[in-house]
Amino acid sequence: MNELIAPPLPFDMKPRAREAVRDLKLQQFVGSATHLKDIHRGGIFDRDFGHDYDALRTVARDTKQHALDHLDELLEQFIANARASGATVHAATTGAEACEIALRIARAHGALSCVKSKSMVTEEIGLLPAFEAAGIKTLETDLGEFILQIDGDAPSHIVTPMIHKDRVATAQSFVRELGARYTEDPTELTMIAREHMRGLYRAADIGVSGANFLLADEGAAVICTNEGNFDLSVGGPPVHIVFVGIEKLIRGARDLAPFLKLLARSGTAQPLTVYTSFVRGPRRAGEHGGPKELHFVLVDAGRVGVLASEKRDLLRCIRCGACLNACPVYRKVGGHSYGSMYAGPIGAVLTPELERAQAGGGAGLANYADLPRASSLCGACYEVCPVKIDIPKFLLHDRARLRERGLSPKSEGAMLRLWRWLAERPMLFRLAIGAARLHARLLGQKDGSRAWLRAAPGPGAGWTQSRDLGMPTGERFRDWFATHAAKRDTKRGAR
Amino acid sequence: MTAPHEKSRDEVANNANERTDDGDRAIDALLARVRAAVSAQPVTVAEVPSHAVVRRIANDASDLAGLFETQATAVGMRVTRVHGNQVGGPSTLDAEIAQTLARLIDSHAGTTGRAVVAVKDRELARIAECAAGARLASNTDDDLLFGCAVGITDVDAAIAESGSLVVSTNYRIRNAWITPPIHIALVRESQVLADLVDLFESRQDALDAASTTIITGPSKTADIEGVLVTGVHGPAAVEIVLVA
Repeated sequence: MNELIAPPLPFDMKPRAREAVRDLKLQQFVGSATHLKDIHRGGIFDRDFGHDYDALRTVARDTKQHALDHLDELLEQFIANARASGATVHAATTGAEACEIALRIARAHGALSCVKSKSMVTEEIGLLPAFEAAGIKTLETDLGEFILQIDGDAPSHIVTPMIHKDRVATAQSFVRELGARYTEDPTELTMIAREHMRGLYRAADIGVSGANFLLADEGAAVICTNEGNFDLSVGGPPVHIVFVGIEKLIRGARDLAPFLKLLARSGTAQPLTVYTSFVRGPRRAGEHGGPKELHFVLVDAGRVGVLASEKRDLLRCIRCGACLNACPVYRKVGGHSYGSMYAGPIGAVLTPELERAQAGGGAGLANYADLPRASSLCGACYEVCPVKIDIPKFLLHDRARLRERGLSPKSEGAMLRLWRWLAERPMLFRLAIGAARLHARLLGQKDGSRAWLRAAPGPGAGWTQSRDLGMPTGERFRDWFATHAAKRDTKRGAR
Repeated sequence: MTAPHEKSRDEVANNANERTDDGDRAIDALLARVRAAVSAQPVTVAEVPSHAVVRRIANDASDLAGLFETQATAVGMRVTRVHGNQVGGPSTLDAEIAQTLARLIDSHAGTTGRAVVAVKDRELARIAECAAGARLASNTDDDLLFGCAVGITDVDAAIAESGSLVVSTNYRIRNAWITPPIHIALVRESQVLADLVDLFESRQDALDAASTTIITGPSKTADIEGVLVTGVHGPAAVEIVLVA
């Protein structure tokens, strides 16, 4: 497994975050790309749904929650209907089991080469390392994933996996790994990748993909791509395996429209992804093309545990990536700082929860103690979530658990106790604030009309290591309020 | 799931029954665990909510073909409308479709490029094959799609609201719409549905095939620095012939 998304545990976020903040290129790419995506997302919803946007999200939230609340029935229906259409259905409790199932299928066909379209769950279960160890050469066909693969890099965003990389890095790896001529033109680079892969699609023994939705009524999977790589990887090889987390189930196509309308708009500000592909069983008699065998591997890998917990809501996530784009922390630290294929706000709650569900007991938070704190609790993630997952609520929940189990830094507890003690004593509180103000004035450096604190003393130093702290200017709110209250009273008296 | 043990390839291939038993046990175990997990928390949503708000376009939108044309163009496809009453043009609708197709094939495939015809509608198939003429690829060759310059298909439906094409493997060569660098789609105005919701609610037959794809634009990527590039794996251009 790539250590970037499967680090040694317990995971320490701080060194990675520190490195990311110092990486000027990353700051530029990730910061501006996510900011733009977030603006475009808002724009397309305004244009297309206006005031109905919130109602649409409520429909999606309740539809998915209903599916989770009835997941046992939907699973049974899916399995029966998928089998009826000629597919084989497998169940895997762990990632290792899912890989073992795939290896058995591959061995039965003597498969040596595989074309794979982008899938988060295959990253999660470590399919590629398992295939490589068994001598099965796998090609990532999504352009971004392909570039990461040949570079030994790992995805840092759910939807745009190589958001942290630029054209120069791409050009260099194409020269090095593909023997291509050097070009930095994105169109030329894309065409080099296209030509490289076309032959491999035809020659591959096996195709692998994830799925965005599973339809119980139809026994089918729905896969959304913009590039068309899924259709090519399912169309060529004689065997195709769909790996899918059980939380992707919905009742059927009758419930699909709200999710499709939200998914691409939330992720990339498109009305729909270019290709929305339905796979329903293997090639039928008389058909030209398509796999002769279709396998679904239903993956648990902690999901059943999440389903049983008070964090069931997390399984509503449709992996649109909107919360990553909206998050001020993700924008600064990038995806690799989260030590998981699930970065950003959703990753900060999902990663420890999946770990808890699989490793049991306190392993989840103990191994990812930094993640619940990697948030300003500004609530932007909740505001943009198409299925209304209250991520800040769960982050707070996790922080409380960290406190209870003594996993918070001692200084945090001491600070909070001091704050509480002061807040209960108004006189002292006013004095302390006054002293802090004076202190800040003396240390702050004037820059135009504002003053900045460049190096804070004592425990505050951590804050100013990578940014300046804006100093309070003008009068205190207390003074302002007192003046205005007096004016208001005078006015009232005059009336 | 029982502990996996080492087996030779032949043993595995010949032991389909045993595998199925293993698989059944694993599925039963998963179902049992999911049942327990579902009942561990209260049901919070008793009924799936109405989808009325999901539909953006009223059923009575007066000009669905026009809306489809606008939206398909907005996502980067090109639309040519054929009415059969072109001044100075061919005398019949069929002849005008054939002429339009021939022109599109010429402009994209040159004189040597081959065209694959994957059209379910018999009438349209005949016209498309005529238009392709000598460039028509024989579909006995398994490798034919990768050698073609143009893929011609009809559709199961089209969607006005998003400007999408719905194409299934039902009586069509799979991926004829995605493998060649150019896709030409024949759409009859009567096939245009108002909204995605209509496809899922009233055209279940379109999802009956082994594979169905809703196409909304040419193949796209913006993976390299967010620069939009078309034609990464699928076609760089989609031409729609919208027939009255």
